[in-house]
Amino acid sequence: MRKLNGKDVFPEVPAPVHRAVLDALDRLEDPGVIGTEERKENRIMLPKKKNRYTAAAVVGAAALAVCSVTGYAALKYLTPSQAALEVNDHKLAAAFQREDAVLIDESQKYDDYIITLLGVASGADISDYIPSDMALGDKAMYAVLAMERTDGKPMPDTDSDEYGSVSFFASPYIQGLAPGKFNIYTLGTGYSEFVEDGIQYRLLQFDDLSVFADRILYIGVNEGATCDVSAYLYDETTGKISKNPDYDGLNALFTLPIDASCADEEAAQAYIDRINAEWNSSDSGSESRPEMTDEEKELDAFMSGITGENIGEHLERVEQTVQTLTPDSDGYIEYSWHLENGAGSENARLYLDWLGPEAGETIILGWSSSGGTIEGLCVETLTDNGDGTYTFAVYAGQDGAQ
Amino acid sequence: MIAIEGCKKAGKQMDKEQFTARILALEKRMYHTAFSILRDNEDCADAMQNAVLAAWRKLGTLRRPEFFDTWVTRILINECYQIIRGRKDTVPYEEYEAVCAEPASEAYSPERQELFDEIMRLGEHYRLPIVLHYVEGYSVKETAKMLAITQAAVKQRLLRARRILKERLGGRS
Repeated sequence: MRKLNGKDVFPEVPAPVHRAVLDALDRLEDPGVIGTEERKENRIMLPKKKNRYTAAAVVGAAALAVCSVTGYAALKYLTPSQAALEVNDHKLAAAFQREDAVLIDESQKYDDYIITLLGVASGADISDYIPSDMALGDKAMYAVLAMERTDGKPMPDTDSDEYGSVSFFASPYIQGLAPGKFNIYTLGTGYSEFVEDGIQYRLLQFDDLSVFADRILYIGVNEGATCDVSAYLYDETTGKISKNPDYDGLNALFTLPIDASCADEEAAQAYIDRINAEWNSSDSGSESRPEMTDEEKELDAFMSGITGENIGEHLERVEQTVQTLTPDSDGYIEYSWHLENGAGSENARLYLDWLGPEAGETIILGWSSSGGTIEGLCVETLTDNGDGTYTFAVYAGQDGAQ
Repeated sequence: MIAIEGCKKAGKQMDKEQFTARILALEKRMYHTAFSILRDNEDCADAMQNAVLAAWRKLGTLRRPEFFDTWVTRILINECYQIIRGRKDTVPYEEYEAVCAEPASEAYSPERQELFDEIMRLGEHYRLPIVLHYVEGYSVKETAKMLAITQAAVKQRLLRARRILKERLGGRS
């Protein structure tokens, strides 16, 4: 994909900013600058890899009971505060040193891994990394987990190629709310992760769930990139979540000590309603819509598995919509298509630099379904041919392809 | 804990003149990155000044010289967040909009001005990856390193940001 130069979109460096930079460069050898270096060198920390999911907002106030602050597996692990410092989150490090932080130190051993929940902290403005676009303020809850191998081999460092070869899905869960739906993807804002001395640490960030204090709150860890609902048993009568004893794999499950007096049934219901609305909202997440029908859910699930690479295996390319496009001087392409059977039509102008694919890549521009069914699907795709041209094509379900 | 020893070489290989040249070459990208976080020129000046001094102090920790740009940018991002933490309030949208409109108004086509505005309307979660990757041309891998997130997370944010931009910009097409 052709890249924009910064000057194309962003302002030039203003003179006062440039002067500030020059001033700094002039001061490089000032005694104060050099002296600072010597004092700070031993505690420089480079940020490790972190990952954050896109997510729901954060709510609520700190409400956790204080537990034992001793242990830490015979000082084997970093404390939650030290772990927070490792990802350069000084606010969180301070939060884990407050009295209302919960230091847990509970380990669960499986065939290949030992999973330890080190602690939980919650409250307002407790992290340097709470996304500024969160809808419900700056309150959040953090849990710190340590994961290590039972055979003593180190976990792959985040800088190594092996990192990610084994993934863990760690998530909060709530009694009475199905884990498949109410997990880190809907409750959380993501996680930070790093490896230290062969131990993988994960800092989970999620909504402050203290409004659910009259229920059991859990932290679960299963192997894999997503919530494996078969790892846990969800009792629809009691709402309790437990490990599936027949599950062949890692299914750690911890409970969080919560002060039940902080429960707020009304706020909890509002929170559930909001997540339900987000769950059912369009992909942009900007608006809610009524509960999806089964067909729509099926369609949604179907589309979630469709990529530019595999679309041809699932839908039929409508040859009459195929167009080879060349961007205009401003970097726009225009395309239009219309299916005679009324299944769909579009006339659009697209700014490639930002919305187009990478060279050789096919992306899905958008999709619609006339009947809300897979059969009625029309999916727009765009391929960067690598020679300055792009191929636009619509793939359709049975109805559209006819 | 941190591989300080392994980092010494690159920093020692760069003298003040080389460092200055690298910073000046990087200045515009630094500004765009800082502006995308702070949206205020005075704060950008402070952040960039602090970042330059911090980078010089920490030069000995730079693992490899080819990572200089991403390394400095990461330091700059940290400085920006420091400034944000010191703010009582974030910059109101109207304020930064006024700042943005001035330099852009004469030279920009309406489409690009609109694009700029829409980028700046994105939440920071999406704005920064967009600026680093698409405006400044850093690779996904470099962007991931600078933001200290995984490449998958960068791609996820870019995808989502692109969708948001498409939705907003596509309304007029």
